[in-house]
Amino acid sequence: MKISHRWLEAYTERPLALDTLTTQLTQLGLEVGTVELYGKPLKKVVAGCIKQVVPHPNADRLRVCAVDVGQASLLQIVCGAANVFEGMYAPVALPGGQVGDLLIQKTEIRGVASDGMLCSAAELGIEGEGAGILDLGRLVATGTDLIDFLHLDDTVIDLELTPNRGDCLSMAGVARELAALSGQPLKPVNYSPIKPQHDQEITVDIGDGKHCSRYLACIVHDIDPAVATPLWMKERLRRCGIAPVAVVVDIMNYVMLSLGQPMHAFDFTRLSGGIQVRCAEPSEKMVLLNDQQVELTENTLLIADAQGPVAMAGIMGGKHSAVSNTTTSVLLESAYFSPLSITAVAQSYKLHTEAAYRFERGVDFMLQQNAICYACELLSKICGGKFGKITEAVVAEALPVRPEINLTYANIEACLGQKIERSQVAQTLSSLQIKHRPARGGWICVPPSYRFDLEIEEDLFEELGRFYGYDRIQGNKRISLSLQDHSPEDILRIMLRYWVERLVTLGYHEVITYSFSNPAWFDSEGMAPALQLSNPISPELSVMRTSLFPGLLQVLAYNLKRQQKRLKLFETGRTYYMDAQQKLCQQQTLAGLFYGTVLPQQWGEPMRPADFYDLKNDLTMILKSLHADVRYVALEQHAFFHPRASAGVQVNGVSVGAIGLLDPRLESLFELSQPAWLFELALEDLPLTTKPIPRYQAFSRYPSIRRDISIIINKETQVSDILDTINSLKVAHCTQVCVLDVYEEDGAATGKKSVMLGLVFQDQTQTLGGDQVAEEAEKIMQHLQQCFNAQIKGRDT
Amino acid sequence: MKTIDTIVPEALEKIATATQVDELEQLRVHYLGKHGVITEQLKQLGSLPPQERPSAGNVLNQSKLTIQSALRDKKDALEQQACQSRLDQNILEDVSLPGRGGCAGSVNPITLCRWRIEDFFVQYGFSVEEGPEIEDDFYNFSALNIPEHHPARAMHDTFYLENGLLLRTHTSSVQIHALQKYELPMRIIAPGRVYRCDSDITHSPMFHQVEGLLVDKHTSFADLKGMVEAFLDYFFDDKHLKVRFRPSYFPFTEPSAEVDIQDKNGNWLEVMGCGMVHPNVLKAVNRSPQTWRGYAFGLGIERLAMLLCQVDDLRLFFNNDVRFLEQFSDFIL
Repeated sequence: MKISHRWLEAYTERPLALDTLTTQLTQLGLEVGTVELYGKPLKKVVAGCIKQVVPHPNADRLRVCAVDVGQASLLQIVCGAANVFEGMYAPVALPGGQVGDLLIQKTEIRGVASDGMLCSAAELGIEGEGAGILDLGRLVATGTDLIDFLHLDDTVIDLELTPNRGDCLSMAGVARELAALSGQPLKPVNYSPIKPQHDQEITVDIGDGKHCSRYLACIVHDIDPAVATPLWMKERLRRCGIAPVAVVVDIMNYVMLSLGQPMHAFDFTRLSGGIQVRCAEPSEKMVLLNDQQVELTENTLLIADAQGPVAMAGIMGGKHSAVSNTTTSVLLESAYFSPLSITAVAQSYKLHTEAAYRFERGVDFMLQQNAICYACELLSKICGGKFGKITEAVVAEALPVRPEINLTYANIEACLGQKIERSQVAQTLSSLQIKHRPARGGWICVPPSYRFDLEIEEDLFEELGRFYGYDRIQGNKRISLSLQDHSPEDILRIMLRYWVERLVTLGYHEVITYSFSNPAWFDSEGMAPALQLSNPISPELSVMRTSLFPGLLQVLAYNLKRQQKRLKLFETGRTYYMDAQQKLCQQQTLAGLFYGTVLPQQWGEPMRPADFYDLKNDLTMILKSLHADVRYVALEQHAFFHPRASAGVQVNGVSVGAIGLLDPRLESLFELSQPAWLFELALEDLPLTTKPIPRYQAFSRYPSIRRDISIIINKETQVSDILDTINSLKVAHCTQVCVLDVYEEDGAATGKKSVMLGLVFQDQTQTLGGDQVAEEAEKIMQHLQQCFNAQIKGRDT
Repeated sequence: MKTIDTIVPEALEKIATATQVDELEQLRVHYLGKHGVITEQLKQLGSLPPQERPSAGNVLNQSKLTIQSALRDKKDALEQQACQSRLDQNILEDVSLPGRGGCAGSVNPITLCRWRIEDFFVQYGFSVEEGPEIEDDFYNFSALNIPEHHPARAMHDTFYLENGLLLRTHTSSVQIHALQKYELPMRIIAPGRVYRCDSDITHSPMFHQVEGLLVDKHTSFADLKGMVEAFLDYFFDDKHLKVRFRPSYFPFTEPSAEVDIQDKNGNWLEVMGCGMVHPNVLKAVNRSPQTWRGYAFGLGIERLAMLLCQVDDLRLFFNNDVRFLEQFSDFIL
């Protein structure tokens, strides 16, 4: 909400230094957003009355005006505007004054003396008043200092009010808070009850009062619709962000901004019969002020007359009974609608009006009388309205009840951690108009009608805290320690941090991409359906991802367009899908991407494109930390992978992910020119119950002996099967088998490959003899011949 | 058979002309080994007449010592020579050439900041919770004292899934999970992704928050204040950091505060929100507000990262431009 500094001062009845004001607002919890100076630099601008206008002797377009500025003699001012006339009240900048960048001096224009300047609205920094010299109307005496009168030296403060402070959505409300804090008196905002000037009344029926427990109405006749809204009022409205419309509507808004009570004026001649506040009936319709035709839902609270709905209560009036530029009789409404009756409705119709905003947050239910009197007073003064008797419908039992809150003195310190003297507590309660009487250990408190946010003791702790000053509460730096168990999540977190650091050492950059993605990536056959957002920000971000790959590939494409050639990327984040039991999974996932050469281009190293085994080694560097059985198995079907250049990853027999080459058919979608290698792991499926702890095992003090063998086997034979077989033989001293080389035997046609294995033999208690090693190696070779039809090609000694 | 008179000069000559340590070893074996020339002659001493044995033996022993000494000296000389030639030859012409191999990647700045935050709180006994990102109304709103149609809901532009669930709008939802899961007293922080359907220069539809929650029998706003101040000093590495608490409103805390820090220009920048756990939150998970009191705080990681690392555009965090990411390589926060 925007507030005008000068207008606020009219309520506090004392000048408020801007610095102090913003500091106090902040301390009160009324967050100060922007602070903007209003208007232009001005000096010596007064109201003048143009007494005579004659043509300029030497210029067709200029006029010479004699202007009364409240001085003994008239000023002669040359003016170029066409809209000046005799009897016009207009702003005059006097010699020695200033208008924006212009310094005003006595001068001569085309041979005629000019002793000042008649000003347009724009020249004074007033927007929206049209071109030409500003017509002040007749409300200002000549010679009046306009800077002061129109508060042209104002500042506009944008308050970012939290939803609990509906009581501060007006000048009077903000001023009330300031006065409570400073202890300074506040201008009373009670408007005297009006004396009816005619006897026409209207009946009002508010039913059980559940939605509307107080409704005041008053008929005002004889309004002069031709009267322009006074400039000072328009200016106050504009500074508070409300565009002036026409006098009656402006007065309604002005009362709302002043006091916080949303008002409505109906064209009385358009109403028939009495007023009824009720919920909409099935299939009722109405056209709102903004020309919107709405089908009313049954929870919609309405103001209706004998013909049907005339307003959506507390939100917006109807078109039919709207005040027009010919309206001379209005029915004023000043009501209390309960917040819940308005919030749901305003939200469902997406009608976020100033009135709804205030009713949603709670309007003081004791304010209606005051507000309607103020509105009558203004209508009467400004446009000659004659008001009748005010009709008040009220269901006293349905009005909000302010709770009695037990405030225990000791609890204040327990909660705030700060002792506040009893006397100071009582004083704060008083200044906040919280009624309180002593009770055992403290007070029984009843908040004022305008505070909807004070319900429990804790609410009062906050009031006491903010009035004592949050900054004066000394922060406690001692902390007690309570030990807690590590949750499984915490172990995953610790492992993940280790993996992130390892991947970074291996050259990967960590990226963060959106959790929602393009449905196009996730509609392949065999994929779990992606969860759909019902209100995405764009169609390209409308499903929850089931894989991290599209995100990585998009980041790859983005960077390739920016001259990168080689990238290693990874992301950790969730993937979302329904499992076989239709249970929602939010799987913590790690995925990596390798694109380009193994090493960055550099001297002394040949450039080799990365392949499966380069990525596999990086993945191994992660999975090794599990100290589990990791296997790479054939991958059945995968939306992102080349069907024959990829593998599933199993840990302890459980499928946890996949690794392989991006399906070449997808390369063009991401504008890739080279193969991209990818892996993805479902982290929550990894065996991570505890952090593995290293256990020392004694190593042999005796030398090991290595025997290398070369075997020729069928190309399809998996090396892992060979290694498993050797391990399963449990040859007494064979402690390690490594793959030294693999190559195709004499061209592809043979269907054979040659594998060179290094066998390491060692004993815990003695140096092994050559014969013993030869015997064991022979046993292994024989077995390989039997199982894999392996041809022993060579052996060293 | 050669006489000792010819053997020694011949041996010395061969030793002198040897160029390899291996050659010397062969010469040693040839002359002094088990079947070496000198060794053989020593073996035959016994066949000489007794009166000749002492002098012949003396000569042989002298010869042996002479050859041994010559071998040793030559070996030392050769080794020294070898050393010298390595010193002369193995010279790096240009040590300024870059090293070979791979280069490191980078931890994302969001992760770096998240770790920095986690590290602080973990040392004060907080455990780290994640909590789900897809939530229902209970965890994200109603248990946090944000009933349906509460104006505070309008502050959260919530993403809904077609199945009626929603994407959490804040990590505060993890408070409820933790309160259900753990015995009291407890203290947790909950970092993670959150979502709001709002996207412009200063708003990302996905960003990161860290929630903190401590529940104990005796805890107060002053404790909260002390913890938050200590954290901000640590995070911004500034013992003289000016921190301001001002009253604010969150449905799930009472009293509530926003926390600002002061920048070099004297402007106050909002960095986090906090407050004492609202009794309705404890009631929602069947914990007695009479027995337990807690404090909670929440912050946006991007916001802190932008301030700490002087990142001036939120979108940089989600573009994943390697030229941006690389700048965070080799930093430990």
